[in-house]
Amino acid sequence: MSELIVSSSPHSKDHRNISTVMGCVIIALIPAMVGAVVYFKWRALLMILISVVSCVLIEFFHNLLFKRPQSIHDCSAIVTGILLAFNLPVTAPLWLPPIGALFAIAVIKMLYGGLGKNMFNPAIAGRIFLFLSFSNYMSGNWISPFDAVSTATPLQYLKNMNGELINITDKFTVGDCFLGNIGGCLGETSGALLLLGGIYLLYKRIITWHIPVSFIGTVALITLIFPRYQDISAWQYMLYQICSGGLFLGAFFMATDYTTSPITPMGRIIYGIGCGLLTVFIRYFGGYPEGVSFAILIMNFFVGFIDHKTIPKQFGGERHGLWHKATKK
Amino acid sequence: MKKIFGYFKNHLFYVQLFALATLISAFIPALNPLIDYESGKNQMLFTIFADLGNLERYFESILSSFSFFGDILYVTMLFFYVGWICYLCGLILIWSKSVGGKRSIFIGSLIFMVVYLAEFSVYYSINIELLHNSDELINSASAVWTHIPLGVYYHFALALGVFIFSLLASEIDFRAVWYGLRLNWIHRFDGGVHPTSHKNTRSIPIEKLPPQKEMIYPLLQHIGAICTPLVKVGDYVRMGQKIADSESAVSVPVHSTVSGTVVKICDWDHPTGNRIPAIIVENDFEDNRAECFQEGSADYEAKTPDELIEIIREAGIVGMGGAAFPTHIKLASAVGKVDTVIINAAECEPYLSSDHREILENIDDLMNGLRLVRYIIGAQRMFVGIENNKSDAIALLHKRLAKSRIRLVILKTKYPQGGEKQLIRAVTGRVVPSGKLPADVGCLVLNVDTVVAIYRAVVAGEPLMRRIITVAGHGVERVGNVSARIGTPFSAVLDHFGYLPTTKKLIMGGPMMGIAQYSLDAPVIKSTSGLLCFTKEQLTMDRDVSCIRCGSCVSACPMRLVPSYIAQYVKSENFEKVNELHAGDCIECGCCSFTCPAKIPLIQYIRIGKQKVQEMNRQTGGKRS
Repeated sequence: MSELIVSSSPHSKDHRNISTVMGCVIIALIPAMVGAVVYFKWRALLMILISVVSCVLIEFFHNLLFKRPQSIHDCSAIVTGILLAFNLPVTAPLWLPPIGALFAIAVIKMLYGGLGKNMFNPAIAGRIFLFLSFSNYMSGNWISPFDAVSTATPLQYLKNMNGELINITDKFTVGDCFLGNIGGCLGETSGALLLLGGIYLLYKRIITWHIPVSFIGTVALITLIFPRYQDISAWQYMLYQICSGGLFLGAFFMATDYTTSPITPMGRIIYGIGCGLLTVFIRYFGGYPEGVSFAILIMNFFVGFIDHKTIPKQFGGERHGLWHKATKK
Repeated sequence: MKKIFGYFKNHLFYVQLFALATLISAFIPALNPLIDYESGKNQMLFTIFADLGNLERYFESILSSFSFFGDILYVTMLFFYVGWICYLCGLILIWSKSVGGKRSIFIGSLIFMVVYLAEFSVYYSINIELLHNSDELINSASAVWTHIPLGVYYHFALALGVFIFSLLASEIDFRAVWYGLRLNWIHRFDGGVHPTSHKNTRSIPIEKLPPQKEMIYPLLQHIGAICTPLVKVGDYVRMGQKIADSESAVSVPVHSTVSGTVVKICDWDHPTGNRIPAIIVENDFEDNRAECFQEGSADYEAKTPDELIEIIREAGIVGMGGAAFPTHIKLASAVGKVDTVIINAAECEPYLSSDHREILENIDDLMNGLRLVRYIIGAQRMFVGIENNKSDAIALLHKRLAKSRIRLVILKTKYPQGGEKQLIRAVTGRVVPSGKLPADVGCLVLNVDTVVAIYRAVVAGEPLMRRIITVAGHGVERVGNVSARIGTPFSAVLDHFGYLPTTKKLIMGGPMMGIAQYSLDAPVIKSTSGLLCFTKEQLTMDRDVSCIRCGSCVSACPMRLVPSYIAQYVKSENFEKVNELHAGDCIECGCCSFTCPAKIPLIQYIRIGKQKVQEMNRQTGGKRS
């Protein structure tokens, strides 16, 4: 008779593991990747490949160097690589993605202890590192899709051209912004394709609705109530704001990064609202036209605090809210 | 004549009529809904015939000039084509007597309804704009509507007709729709997971397993105090005779299920993993009945509830769902306090089908048992909660419960639907407060098997002697349900089904909460609901990696705990914090471990935490919060 294995219940487990979760995220990013290649030609694909390969290699050698168990099979480095490339302008030199990957993977992710222990989103940190260190490559030289003519992003129009007499509707329509026919980073231009990927993630239950809805909803609400552009209606201004500047990329793929977002439902909503508020504040009052990545990075600081303050009441637990105190008496 | 009249009463006829009318009138310019409001040009014919070669430019114009109102007409036009194709396909399917035609037309009409509503709003706003710009003094409220082309009204009426008649023709069971809504929105609980059900055994009838030569009766088959033997080695025992009992309040006696001689009283392998004293009886295969069988009578209303509860205790009945809590204590604490009795037929564990077969095969005993329980408890309301994957059992119960005041509540297939607190929440909406019992919210939950056992104990005088067991997994030659006497060794049950040595793991109970066995010598006890033989390919033995903070355990936990944090605090031995996170409320359903993508054995950490917190509280004498 064979030996029987004895272990604690449950004896069957879900087939989903970290690799399959990350695989789903990669699949969800494919539409936007195809969009980037269509809009910015093969150079976009080259940059994505360089970024992914350098992220994976850096994680591999980091593990070798520090004698840690190999972890590249969980595919998280691939996701980081794609997201990092999505945050670069197509005109950036090809040596820029490896430098960003070095900072994102080696410093932000692996030095903190690998996947699950990092405080900040590696892709966002890498992007901001590049943005601050190589700002001449990272901003200012945007090109338009298809014809590669030098242009500016919609947010730059909305912010800088306020006093001048150029109407943004002459440059881009809302449809252009939504479909991605605008100047901008590789992957962030097309809201429609990112939305497609985001819906796929929601359908596969990889992410929950809390962060995307509260993030985009907050941006939409504030820009609707306080528009800062005279020539177009508040609704149009809101649509321009949410369709441009990587909001969809941030809300569906970056802010929902497991490690650097809260795990409680209420915490996720608060985190999303915080990201939305900071995004609009930076876009309105900050020095940069773009605010999503800074907002997410700042909110990453608060994740632990939010988590501990929003632990849900257990099923059947006594409620302590003001409303229940008031109704009890 | 009558035949023709009958044909006109056919809803499908009107569906075809209206759909055909829509398709034909699309080619009549005067009735076309897509006439351009400025040029009067027929957009549909224009785009189909004149502009066909120029589709590229057409799409470009959509992409490049998304001005708000004008282009909604362009976009709706695309939807018109989709709607027309749906109608065309539907008609072809209906006429070729294929399936799916009605659905196709119904979808088409839905698309048209949405499109026309958009169309109305566009025309409305355009007309208001036009009226504001013109100098004519027109009463705008009515003029706005009269300026909308006739074709739009005409087609809207047609779409409405198709919609209504295809709804009527589709024979949608609106009661089923209502059940579906109730399932998802009313009778629900938070959290839970959806494991694959694997209930292949549910259509296999219950077999009877003959008793073995050597029967083993562990002295602990329930939650509570261990029993002391009432017999000595060498005594002759009869079938149904009480052979062990305890003075303790939380305890039930143990009965012999065969007649024969007591050969040994010694420690024996127990399914829970310990070695516990057991009485071993050598069977003489005569089944001489004990005198308790004469005491049963169908006239139970002659006895008081207290007497009946005493009979139930003497019959050794425990909760058969898996926890094996003595039933008489549950009933005694419920009498007078409880207004709702819920019969648990959810059976949410994968693989198991013993309750399902019990309902199908012993429905008479179950129905009488329900009446008996109602007499004992005196409850006003009685529910039977069942998951919606047991359609034949639902149909049977529906028929049998139709005339009684007992209500059948159909629940969504979700684990742990059969958990006591989850079931109460799903069926009645009541929430059992933390640290309280179901009786505190006026509820009593009884398993189907338990009800049948109560009925047999009271009416036939039969103590709890049999147990229906589901045997499944790749480690047996055939799967099935078997009615085995309590005390039969696992090896006998498994040999009946062809035990294969490829079995890597033997589980008593379901795969989510069952207990892994180390020995085939352990006997069937009162809480054995299934025996699963898993081979290597059925086991998931992944190594755990560090938590990636995905939060799936938080959304899966039916008790709304935060398993990943509790596990972290247990790892760092911070049991104060474990207590603060209410680890004591954990029902050990295993949803968190099941769903964790990092494969962390969260439930094991929480179990350790629960034990340590209990020890801590016992030492300090502190109250459990």
